[in-house]
Amino acid sequence: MPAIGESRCVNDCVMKSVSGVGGVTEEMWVLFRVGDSLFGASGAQISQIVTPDFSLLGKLDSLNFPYFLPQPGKSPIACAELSRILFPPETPKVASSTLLLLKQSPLALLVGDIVDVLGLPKDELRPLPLILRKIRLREAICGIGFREDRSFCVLDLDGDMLLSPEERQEAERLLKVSSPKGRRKSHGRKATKLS
Amino acid sequence: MILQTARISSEEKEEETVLVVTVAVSNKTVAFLQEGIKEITRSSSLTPIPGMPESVVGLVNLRGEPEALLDFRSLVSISKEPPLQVFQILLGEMGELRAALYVDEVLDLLDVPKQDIIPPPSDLDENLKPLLVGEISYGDEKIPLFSFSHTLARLARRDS
Repeated sequence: MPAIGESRCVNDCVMKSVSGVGGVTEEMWVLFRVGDSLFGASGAQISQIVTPDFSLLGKLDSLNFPYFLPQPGKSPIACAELSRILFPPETPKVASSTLLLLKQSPLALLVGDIVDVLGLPKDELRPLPLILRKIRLREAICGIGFREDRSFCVLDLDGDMLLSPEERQEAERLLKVSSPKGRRKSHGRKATKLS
Repeated sequence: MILQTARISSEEKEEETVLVVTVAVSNKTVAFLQEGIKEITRSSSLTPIPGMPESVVGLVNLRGEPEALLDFRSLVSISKEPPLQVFQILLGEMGELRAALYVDEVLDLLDVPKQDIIPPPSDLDENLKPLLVGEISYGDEKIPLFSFSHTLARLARRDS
């Protein structure tokens, strides 16, 4: 089995950083690009950062989860493009180069490049301005952080706003169909097309 | 004596002015009453917000506080050009709500005699009536004069 890509374990990094500052007040935030925009997410929600070889990713016949990441000896991971979740469908497609593997579920999010891993006390995140309290993805935004003079939205990757329970179920269903066992079970039914 | 008093009163009336900020946005020049504008500043850091409505440009960092940057062009049918790399903002407050208006550039701060403000046309769109104060002369052209606080309040009601 060829290597899927380079990976880094974020949680090791988080643990080292937390012990390095001698307390648990500082949290690590992974900063990444989606298109031209900068976003952040808590390192505690990410198990691994992978720079995949796209030719080795499996393809799923799904708009929400166009790829899956095969894992030797483990269940595959469904991959969603974060740009499709965050921005309207008419937004031009942006380049994705990195996978954020989620810690709480067998899912990964495709994003642009990783910009930084930043130590920042959680209380330094600023709330979204009141005037924006009813925007569509309000619940998915934990707060606003700053890096140099640039602000970034910190996303809650585990919440139901980015990926709804129905979408998570869709990912599970797709992966069942994509696994050899699942394909045997789906014999005689319309299987999800893989290429 | 009575005549003299009347003349002074008339001159005072003539000198009644309002402060007006003229701005350029999407190759148009428009003006806002200065009333309600807390701060005018320049910025180059714009953060788009996922799920933001058409009337929001994004967030700007103002001394470590994120401020919502609103786009009045969606209210007044001015074509939307992409935001400039470096732009200016007009910050306002409405009670506990704070927000800023995006403009390409602030051109002038003018003292305009009230009598020089041409009332808006009577057949003006109902939606624009509370926003448009009238027209003023600026250089060789007539430009629309908007109420800043009403414009910001209208945009805030749309998004909150």
